[in-house]
Amino acid sequence: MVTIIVVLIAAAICVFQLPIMMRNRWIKETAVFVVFLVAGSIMSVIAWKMITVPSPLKLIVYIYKPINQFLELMFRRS
Amino acid sequence: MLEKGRINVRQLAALCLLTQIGDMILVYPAVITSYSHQDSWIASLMGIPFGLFSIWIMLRLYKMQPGKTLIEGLIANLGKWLGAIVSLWYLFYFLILASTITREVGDFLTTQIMPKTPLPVIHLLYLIVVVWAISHGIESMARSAELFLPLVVLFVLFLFVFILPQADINRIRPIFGTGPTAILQGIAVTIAYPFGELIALMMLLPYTTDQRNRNKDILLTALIVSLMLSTLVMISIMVLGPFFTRHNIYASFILAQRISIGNFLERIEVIVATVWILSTFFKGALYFYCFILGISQVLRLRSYKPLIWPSAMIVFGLAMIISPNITYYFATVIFYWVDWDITCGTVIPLFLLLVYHFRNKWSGNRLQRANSGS
Repeated sequence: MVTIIVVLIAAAICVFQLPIMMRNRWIKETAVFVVFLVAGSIMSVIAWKMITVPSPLKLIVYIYKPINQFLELMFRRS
Repeated sequence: MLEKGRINVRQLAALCLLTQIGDMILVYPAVITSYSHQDSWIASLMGIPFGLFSIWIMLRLYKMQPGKTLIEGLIANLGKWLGAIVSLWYLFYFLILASTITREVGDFLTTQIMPKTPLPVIHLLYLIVVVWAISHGIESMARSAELFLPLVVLFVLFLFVFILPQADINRIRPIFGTGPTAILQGIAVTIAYPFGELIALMMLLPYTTDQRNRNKDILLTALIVSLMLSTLVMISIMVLGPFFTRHNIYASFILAQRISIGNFLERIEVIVATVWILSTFFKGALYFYCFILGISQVLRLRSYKPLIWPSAMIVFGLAMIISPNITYYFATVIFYWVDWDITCGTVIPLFLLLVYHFRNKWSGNRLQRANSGS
């Protein structure tokens, strides 16, 4: 049900936007638009259905964990 | 030119002020108090010079690349490939910030005001307004920021004045009782939150009219906002105490709930919530705009308008994906978030400034040598 609604919304956005871009022959813009729309639709379905997927913030935690641990160690010594 | 709108310095300052207040007016006391307890007002005040320095770095960096946004400057400065990689890092930052702010609005409304409304519904309503604002361009957004600014400032001052009778100076004692490490952490939070997130400013500077007092005005705005936030931290510690401030994510909302003047002026917390949502809206919309503008500049698109609706869907999805529950990003991610803000807001601009500086120096030397040789 949710999937159908999201696909309908995506189709509506296409109907509004694609003619403008096609008239100007914006090929690159259209490609980016389609990629974004597909990604957005998939993410919206995941969000509505509340499926658990790994959070992108895990990347930030992964990058900064060593730095934080290092700083903690440095300040604890002093 | 992707963006045809032009904003003047006053509108830019209004936008800056709202971005800086943004979601901070609600969560800043809790975040900084969780690091440096009853001394967090000292940390917040001591962080102001460092924060102003980081904004000065951004303005200085803009001076080296006049007429270029952050993303264009990165590509011009670091070359096509390295520039694109650092740009993608910034775009990720903008996208995640936009989604996090959406999620914060949703979480605040569903935990405090409308507990039975599903989270995605609030996100949807919020994002429709954001899309509406963005599709009219930066000019309309800046003008509406100018319009809403007095309201926001007025109600923040209103909150400060009416909660003062309940303040107790004994709650901030012992002064300097937490030790230097805790205060240093508090200073890091101050640099990261109200100041570091102003990196979005770098995306707007090329579209402002070039006036002489621009840099001074931006620094002055940042100073005023940070003083306001420090006052808020101080008042919330004096009214609620360090322990209660630390464990309430929405400290200023609790403050507003406590206002009671002569059994007449009561329950004004919803006004504070409205003001908070207003300022958060501008912050979220600005980051959303930066993301779309940035991605169009990286990919050299001719317009960013077609990307607004698809990006709104991405933000809508990410707002839910970003964390399974409210405690994940308020209790786990926040320690790393401070580092991330400082990296994006201060460290990378400083690095870029050094690159410009040395490149100018070296190329200048080479020019001199060539001149003297001939």
